Amino acid sequence: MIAPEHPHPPAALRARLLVLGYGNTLFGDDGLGQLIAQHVADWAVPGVLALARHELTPELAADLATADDVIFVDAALSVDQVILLPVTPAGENAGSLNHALTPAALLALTTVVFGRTPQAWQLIVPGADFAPGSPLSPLAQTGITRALEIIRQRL
Amino acid sequence: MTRRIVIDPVTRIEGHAKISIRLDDSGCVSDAEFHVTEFRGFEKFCEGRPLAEMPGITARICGICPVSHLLASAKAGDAILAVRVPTAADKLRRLMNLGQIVQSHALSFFHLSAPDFLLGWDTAPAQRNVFGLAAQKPELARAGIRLRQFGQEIIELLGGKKIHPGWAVPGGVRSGVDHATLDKIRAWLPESFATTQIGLDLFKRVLETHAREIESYGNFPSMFMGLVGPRGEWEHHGGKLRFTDSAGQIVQDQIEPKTYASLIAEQVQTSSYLKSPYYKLLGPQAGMYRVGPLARLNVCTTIGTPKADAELANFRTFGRGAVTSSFLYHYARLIEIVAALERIELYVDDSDLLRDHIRSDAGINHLHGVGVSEAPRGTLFHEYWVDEHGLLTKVNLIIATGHNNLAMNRTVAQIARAYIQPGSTEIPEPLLNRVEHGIRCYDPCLSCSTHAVGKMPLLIQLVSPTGAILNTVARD
Repeated sequence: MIAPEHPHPPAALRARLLVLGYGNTLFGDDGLGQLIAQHVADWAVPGVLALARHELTPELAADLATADDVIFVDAALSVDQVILLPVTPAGENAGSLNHALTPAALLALTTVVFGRTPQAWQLIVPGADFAPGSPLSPLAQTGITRALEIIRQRL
Repeated sequence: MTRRIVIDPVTRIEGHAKISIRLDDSGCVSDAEFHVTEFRGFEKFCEGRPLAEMPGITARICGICPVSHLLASAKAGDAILAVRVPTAADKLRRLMNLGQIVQSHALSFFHLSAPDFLLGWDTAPAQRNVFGLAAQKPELARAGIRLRQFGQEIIELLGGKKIHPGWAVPGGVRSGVDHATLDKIRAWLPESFATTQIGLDLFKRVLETHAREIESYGNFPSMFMGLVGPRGEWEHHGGKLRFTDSAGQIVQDQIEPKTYASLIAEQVQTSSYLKSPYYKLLGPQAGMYRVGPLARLNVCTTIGTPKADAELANFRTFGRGAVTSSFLYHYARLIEIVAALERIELYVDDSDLLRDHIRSDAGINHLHGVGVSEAPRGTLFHEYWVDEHGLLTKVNLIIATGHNNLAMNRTVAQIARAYIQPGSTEIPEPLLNRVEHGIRCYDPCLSCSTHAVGKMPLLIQLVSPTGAILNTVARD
């Protein structure tokens, strides 16, 4: 018994917006994506689903398939301010996987398996300290506040 | 004088790693080494933490097998409290571990490994992945995703909507279940059995055409280790340790896990942060052992449920004594999914799970404790020392991937010997594909400490005896 091909969930089960924050909360700023997702979940806005995850794994494609819009939230050392970038499904090069899927690759998997492609953005939040057990850096704390403002504007 | 071929990093496994293949003076493969270059440092990080927090902390080590650390940690805590865990709590922990086995094995088989043998070893890497599989067989990719979802659903129904549930605690669990929860789990079972059968049928067809892979992908004598029940039955959470040899003979049996250090020593490699445990009485070479699905099916006398036992009988036709080819890890994984589903089916009708008493209370009664659980990848040890206030003073973790380290090295060397022409310094694409798959047979989990936005290419380097890089190949 296999789920029907390209299932389109009823409107009542769809998320208008999915916020998917990921990272490792044991490693200082690396966990800020999860913290942001938890903040959004606490807002309890109808039609908005927030998930906090360690990393992006294939079964999340099923969640993406139920959403109209998706915002991936992650930390990065390579930026000094919060950046919002559109994400499109990765082409065939998405196949060179590392330890987990990238947002573009997860989007591609959603498209090919479930036949739906939500509009997607990646919210990249600067981090400074990724050492085990570190508290959030001031840079990350400022970034979290700004990231939450950006998400709230899209509700 | 030796030369080294370096493959760095291995894709589609947890964490980052590289592989060095050493050639001898005649240009033939002499040995291989699987390096882990990231320092995780969790053992030091845990020192000073309260015992009660350890399950929640260690569950956050890994995004792929958090439940394994959660349960091993809780069991180490049980030993320090010196309590007997209530029946309901023990069964609920087992139910969560079965969910973990299902979701982890489903990811390994359907998404990480199946593309290699279903799309063809020599298919371009850009297509030989879960996307290529999904494009050709979307129904299979979707079924695999839903099977993994089922395992995750069990974990979330028991532990809450968190990827790292701090649900199991020393003495038991924080919350129980009700009929509605068990009904939700029950409703998934028919589809999950059907998907697993699809995987089994598919892989049996693969076996008919993959004699060379069965022969060369880690097919060598070794010992095997795993937990078994009192009658030698398949275990995943309780039980005691059993070691067997490649002839299928029992070498050690019903060993109390807390005495593991009398039988297991750890070799430290200067080139890797991954420790290499071995059976102490035989040394690192003859004492190399394997853990995980292949080992668990080799050490157990029976699985104890009808569908899985029927598959076990067929599985054992691939060995004389023990099944020694690591390519058969895939088959063992599918059989373990069947075993897990059959046990889940029993638990959803077990009224013990509905009992109110789910946690035993006690203070610090011992200053040392060992917790052992079977993670999807193999036996996981958590060993803790605490002070009289229950603060951790020392921690030792032996993870499943570590147990398999020596076997992975030997597997890579065996594959390299089969595919590198003596005297050649080329790194042919077929070799890369097969070496990567040889490692993936073990489904290693090196859980990354951080992650970067973007992708990391596969980098292959050929290094001269003096360390000069002779050739570099990058794969996006």
